[in-house]
Amino acid sequence: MDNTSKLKSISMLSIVIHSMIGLRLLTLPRDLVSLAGNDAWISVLISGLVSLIIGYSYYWLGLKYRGLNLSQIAEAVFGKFIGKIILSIFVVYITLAIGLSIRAFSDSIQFFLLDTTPSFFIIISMIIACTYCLINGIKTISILMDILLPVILFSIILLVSFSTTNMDRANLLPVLHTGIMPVLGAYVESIHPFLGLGVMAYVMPHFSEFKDTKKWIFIGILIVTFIYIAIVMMCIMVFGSKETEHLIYPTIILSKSIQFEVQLFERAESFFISSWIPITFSTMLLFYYSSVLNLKALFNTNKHNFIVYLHIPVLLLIALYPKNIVNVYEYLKIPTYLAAGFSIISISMPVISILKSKKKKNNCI
Amino acid sequence: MDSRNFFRRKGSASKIKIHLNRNKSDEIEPLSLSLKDNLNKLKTTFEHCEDLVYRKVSSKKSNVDFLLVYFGEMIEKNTLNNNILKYLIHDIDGFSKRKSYEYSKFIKASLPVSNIEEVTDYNSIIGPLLSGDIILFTEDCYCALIIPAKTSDERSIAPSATERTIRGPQDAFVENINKNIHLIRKRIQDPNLAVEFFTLGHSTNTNIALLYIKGIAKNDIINKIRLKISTIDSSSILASAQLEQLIESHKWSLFPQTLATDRPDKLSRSLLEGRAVIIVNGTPFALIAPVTFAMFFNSSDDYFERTIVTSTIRIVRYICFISSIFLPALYLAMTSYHPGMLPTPLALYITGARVGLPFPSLVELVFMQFTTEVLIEASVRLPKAIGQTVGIVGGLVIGQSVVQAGLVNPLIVIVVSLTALATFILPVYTFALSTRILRAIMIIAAATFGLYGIVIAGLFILIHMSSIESFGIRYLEDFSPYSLSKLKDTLIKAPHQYINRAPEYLNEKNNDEV
Repeated sequence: MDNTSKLKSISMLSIVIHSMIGLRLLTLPRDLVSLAGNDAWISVLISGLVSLIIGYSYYWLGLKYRGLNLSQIAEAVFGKFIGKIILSIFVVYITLAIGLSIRAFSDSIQFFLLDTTPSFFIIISMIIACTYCLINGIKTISILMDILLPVILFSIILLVSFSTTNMDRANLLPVLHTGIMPVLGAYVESIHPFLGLGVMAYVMPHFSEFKDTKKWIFIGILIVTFIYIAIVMMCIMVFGSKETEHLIYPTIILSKSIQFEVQLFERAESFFISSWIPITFSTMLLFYYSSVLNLKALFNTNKHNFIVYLHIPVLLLIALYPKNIVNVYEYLKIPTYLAAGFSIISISMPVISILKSKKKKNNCI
Repeated sequence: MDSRNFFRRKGSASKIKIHLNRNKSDEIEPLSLSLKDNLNKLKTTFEHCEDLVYRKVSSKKSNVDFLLVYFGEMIEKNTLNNNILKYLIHDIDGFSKRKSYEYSKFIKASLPVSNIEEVTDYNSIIGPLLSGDIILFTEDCYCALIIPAKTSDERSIAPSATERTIRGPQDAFVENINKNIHLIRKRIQDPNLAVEFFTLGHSTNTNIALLYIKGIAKNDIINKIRLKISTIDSSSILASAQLEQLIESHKWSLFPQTLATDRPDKLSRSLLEGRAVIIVNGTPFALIAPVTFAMFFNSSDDYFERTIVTSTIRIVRYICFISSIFLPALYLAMTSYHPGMLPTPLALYITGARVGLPFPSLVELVFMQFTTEVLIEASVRLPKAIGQTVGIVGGLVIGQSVVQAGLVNPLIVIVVSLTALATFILPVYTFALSTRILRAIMIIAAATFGLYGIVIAGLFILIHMSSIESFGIRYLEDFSPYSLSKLKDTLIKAPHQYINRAPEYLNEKNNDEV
């Protein structure tokens, strides 16, 4: 793949949005509501604000280490040895996250669309689609993201606006009834999908107009925050916090509850779950892409296609390992913990980098 | 290639041919001084060409012998009789004052025919002779003259049969390359309109012209096209379709990477946008390159009608493209995998209608799809008069009786005929053809994995479309880095004053990065 292919700054918008909206949106309302009750949307808001800071720190790193992606920056900041250890944490986190989300995805597809199709087919077709796209390079990925973005936004807006017919605003009240602590507890949970933002630091080297790129990163984060808040609020307003806690896929059930004035679809959830396939695909593709870059940096190799193909058996193994859906969500906790480490590392990177450069300056003086 | 050849390439078409023929047999064979030797040599080269005429004449006034060689049916008889023969036999005089080696120069200066060329090499007369020029040998002179006298036995300019417009200009390309270039030059009277000639095919010696506007078209793109054309190694190029296949980079793709049209107004517009046009002698269809996906949704009429109307029709075309690919597959997926999605009355109706039917939906759908494909192919190939009969047989007889015979659910007839109609809305025939294959892929995907299969197959097609490029321009460039200015002539059509600038990615001035 050529590293010289430059992208226009506006392409960052779709990459940022796609990296953060994924399969997690289907289950997130339940996890948040069980922790924070009807104030769950406040934790999402906090996460959105925090991710603005994370986004800025990635942008700052990209600016400081021009032409390097996150894995190369990690090595540059922490040095060769520690850098490799941190890289391997990245690798484990991202491959586990991809593999398990593919599994969770295939489970939800089986649950809603194809109940007798073997999950093996769903998993392998998803992996092959990602692989096919990856061997065509970053420009293809960026075009694909741009084309898929309107489709995804359209279906989410449709879902939210149709749900307004049977919402009850009283479900949101009283605000902050249980105090601020549960909200903060849910915040830790809700920051996880926002960490998809890390993908941004892997594609940064392909952008040349930095100033505009920053603008689109922030707009992207704001749109994502808005979408998450809207979905979580809708779930609470339609079902109430008590009911949302007991739904496995609250977002899908939300679409199930839609009743059209005119009978166009008998059950709208099949339509929404099929629009969820590209959403999951795009997130997975971006994670896959960053995983490839990680492995390339870890093994100091430039064989792009080889690394891409190497992922297929690994991801298959991870995806097929859990026995059932309960297992999947148990295992999914591992990447969640790793994600916490990932976020600490990525926030500490700019700090260490600043300290380092100060040290250098002092030495010079 | 030395500088001399370079200049030749810029000259007329016949000049290139000479130079290429010289390249073919590298050594130079000088012509003989005696007419007899030259005649014998030609007779051995053109041993099997019984239509080659060797005509010996001699001047009455000066008593000099000439030999004229030409293919009898390829030349203009008038030119031969009035301008050449009459002149050589009766009028020309003054040979006695000149040395014999000056003869040909003298004839060249005094013959009333334009563009005469003087050659001394035997190999360089063969190409022009084959293309319909007259070769004139003079006794005792080592030079031969190539006198252009090709007949213009061609069909005259007529309206385009494949792309009709209502308000647009009614002229279309013909087979002759020079006439076609003339049609473009007439529209773009600009010295920056560059025309480059190539000759391709060892046995067909086909003339090919590459047209672009200097200063608007991007140099990178033109260089890429030029390189592709000049590296072609093929024995025959009879039509632009062959050239198209030879220059495109994704040969196994379903999507055309050049746009073939015979409408000079469409071609001129593309030139002004910064694209290149490739004209092949012998085909009325010229190629536009590079192309993007959105171009296949533009019809010539779009530029002659009002903005809002056109924009609406454009959007309808996009919807039709999508539904022509997905509609049968969606029907299949919904009825066989996800009946819950259909409104209850419709689901009940379909179940009711299917009660007496022997075959599964897939078989019905494939059968009806196959029938429409046959009907379309039959009506395209048949003469106009019988074509209507096919319509009646297909539409009324088969459509009606298939339902009455209890073979097919009437809903499937609706779905299949709607799909066929949606395909016909697409303005470019080549592009409409590829939707047929895409539709088949979708039906297979839907039959095996329902909605999931459709979405995944759609994703695969989308990935493929994002990955292909035409001469350095991505196929989906019109949609990908978002930009409002690109919307002006893609999904909608803005009023003319907003779109008279070339797209950014094609423009030479915005040369930074695509």
